[in-house]
Amino acid sequence: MDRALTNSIRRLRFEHGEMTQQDLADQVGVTRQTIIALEAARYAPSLLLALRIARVFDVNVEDVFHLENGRQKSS
Amino acid sequence: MPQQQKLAWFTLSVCIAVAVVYLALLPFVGPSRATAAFALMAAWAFAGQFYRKRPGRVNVDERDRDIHAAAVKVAAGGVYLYFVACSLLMIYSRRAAGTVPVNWLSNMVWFGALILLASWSIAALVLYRREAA
Repeated sequence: MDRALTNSIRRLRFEHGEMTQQDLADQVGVTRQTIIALEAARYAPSLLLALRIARVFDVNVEDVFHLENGRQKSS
Repeated sequence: MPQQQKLAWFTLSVCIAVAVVYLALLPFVGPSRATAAFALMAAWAFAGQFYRKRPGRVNVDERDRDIHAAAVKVAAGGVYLYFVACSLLMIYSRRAAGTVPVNWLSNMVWFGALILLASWSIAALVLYRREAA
């Protein structure tokens, strides 16, 4: 995976009622192992999966996934 | 462990079992009859159990499909190289005779199937391990 892609999935999970990895996996339609790989930045999700994850947390995709070592694009 | 990763371990186990039984039979019954070991590959018929629907759980997701696609590419390359190697071996070992025994061809096909399954499972396991590390 491109190491320039990072994410805030773990932080967002804890901010949303300490959601478990399995809960998030069930809501977006993937396995728990995929969520683990995502949080470890070992896997780059498809656009569809990225949008689903953002929808679960009710944020924009750019608030979940970041390019270039976590630098967020200012809105 | 993802279901597909379990399938990869199961497939690799079947391939190793087939190879071990073939090598064990080889000195006693010869290469042609030792191919009876490939009957063990019928165990792979149970592979469908790994994809059985589990209520409330995702069996195969996009990451599994990506790993499967990458592993198939590796397996295809491995099988191609295997058949090229077999062809060259036959050419250089049977050049003087001008013919190839028919049982060589059947053995080549059986081992090709073994190489295909083993390559796929090893590639999948390496990819799963790489993403989990």
